Amino acid sequence: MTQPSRSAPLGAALPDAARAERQWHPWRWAISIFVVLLGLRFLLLIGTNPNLQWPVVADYMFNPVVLRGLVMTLWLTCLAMVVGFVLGTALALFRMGNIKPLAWFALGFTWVFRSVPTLVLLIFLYNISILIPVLELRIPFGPLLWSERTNDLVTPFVAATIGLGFHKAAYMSEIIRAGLLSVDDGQRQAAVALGMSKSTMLRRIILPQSMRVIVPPTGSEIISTLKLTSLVSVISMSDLLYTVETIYARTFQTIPLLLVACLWYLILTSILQFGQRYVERHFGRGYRSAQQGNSPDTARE
Amino acid sequence: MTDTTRKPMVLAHEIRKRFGSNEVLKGVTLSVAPSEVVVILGSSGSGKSTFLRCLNQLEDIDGGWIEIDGEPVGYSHVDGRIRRLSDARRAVQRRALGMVFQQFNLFQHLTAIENIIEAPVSVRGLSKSAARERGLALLDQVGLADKANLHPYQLSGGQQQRVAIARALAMEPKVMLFDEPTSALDPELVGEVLAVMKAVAASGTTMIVVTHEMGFAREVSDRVVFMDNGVVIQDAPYDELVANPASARVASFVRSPGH
Repeated sequence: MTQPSRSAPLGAALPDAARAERQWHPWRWAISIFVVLLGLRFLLLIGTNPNLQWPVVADYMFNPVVLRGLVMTLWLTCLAMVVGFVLGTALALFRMGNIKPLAWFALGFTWVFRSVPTLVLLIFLYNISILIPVLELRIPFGPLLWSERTNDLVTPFVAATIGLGFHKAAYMSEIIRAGLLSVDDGQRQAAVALGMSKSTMLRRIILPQSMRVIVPPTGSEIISTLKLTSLVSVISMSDLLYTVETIYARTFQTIPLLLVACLWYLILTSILQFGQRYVERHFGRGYRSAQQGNSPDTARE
Repeated sequence: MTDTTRKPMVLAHEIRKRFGSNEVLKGVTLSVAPSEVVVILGSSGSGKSTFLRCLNQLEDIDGGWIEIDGEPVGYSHVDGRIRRLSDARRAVQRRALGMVFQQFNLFQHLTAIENIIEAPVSVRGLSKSAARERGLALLDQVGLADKANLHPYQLSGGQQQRVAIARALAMEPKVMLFDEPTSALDPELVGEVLAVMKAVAASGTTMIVVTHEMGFAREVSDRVVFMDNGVVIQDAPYDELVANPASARVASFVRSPGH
């Protein structure tokens, strides 16, 4: 402001908007009070209803049998996600690759495993030995290399892993494809121009950048997988839900035991959501929005 | 300055390239001697960027022949048989050419120094410490030694482009290709990038520069190639081009301000 302003001088007579009074929002207050009261009533219900049998819940919360079921649930979630991510990445690359039949395969796979309900898929795989009694590996029209009875091979555990894993792969392939497509083409060109091979480019440049787009929906996928594993109880896999079911079938403490399962699911999903935030921050580096306002050095000199 | 007795560093003969029914290059021929700096001028759509991208095989040529330092690019010619090289072989050939893009194309998830050492480590197999040492020296050369640990979004456009030049130089290319390196920059940032490019030219690097910067063409280039509609209209030193334009189009281009 070294030059004198050419605007007309207005003096100090005008008011200043900064001194405005606070506004009064009656509706905001009314709705807030109503919702808080509703919440309190709900908490009271949970706290006082004797049918919930909180002591029984506390009793079974860390019961070794329940914990074993919990470990199985976690293990299945883990396996399903690993199968889903690896297979999903492969499917996404097939879809985007140059080999047409592979692209069709990926499209068909995604179509089938997104269309069939997971529950149906699990029951189907559980009974697969009726369809294919013996699995064989042989050179076409040549000698038999290996054979095994399907029932011995596809145990409920394997059926559950394949069922959940394939289901997740179908969803993950779309998420990963969206992630790969989100990377600016200039990044690819720069990598190619530097003489990178396709695999190096994918590993060092494209995947790390697509992670920013892949991680948030993958977090939701992990959480949904954790809950999805409860379906395996129908093929008598002793996961968390199946375990509490077998207990309350014996003791008739249905509600408290279901509460035990719910509480565990709640705890696990909370931990996952918390962890997701850290992973997102890690892959968000290099982007302004991920580190709002705390850039160590401003852009322009 | 052009020494015709020496073997050319870049030899492009009758390069043809079409996108669908649109023939972008209709037989472009250019040879560049070692250490020569050639500026390619032309209006947008003249095919100059496509030509540059053909040289380092970002685009596949439809016809013609390219050799870099005597080595056929993208194809082999043995016993009269011409065969397309494998992708792996082509990737190796690209290392001989450093490319600087209009939009910088720095790797967003890496810091300035990581951008520079990425390819030397993952492509050429240099040790991290050796690449880093050399990378820091290059950053110093482009005047950004203090910005080594910043991400691209924390740098101005001019700084990003200087990092991009350092990144290309880190591969020790035989030829540097610049595709409108200053076109995406705010006017006040153009100078710093041109200064770095002049320094690279002074170090004896063979350069092909697609640009609208007439000042650079006048001061730094050994030759100017004017392209229009997929063909080379004129190929001459700057002064000759200005004094004796081959067509009205060239004349209006070199005289119009703003270019």
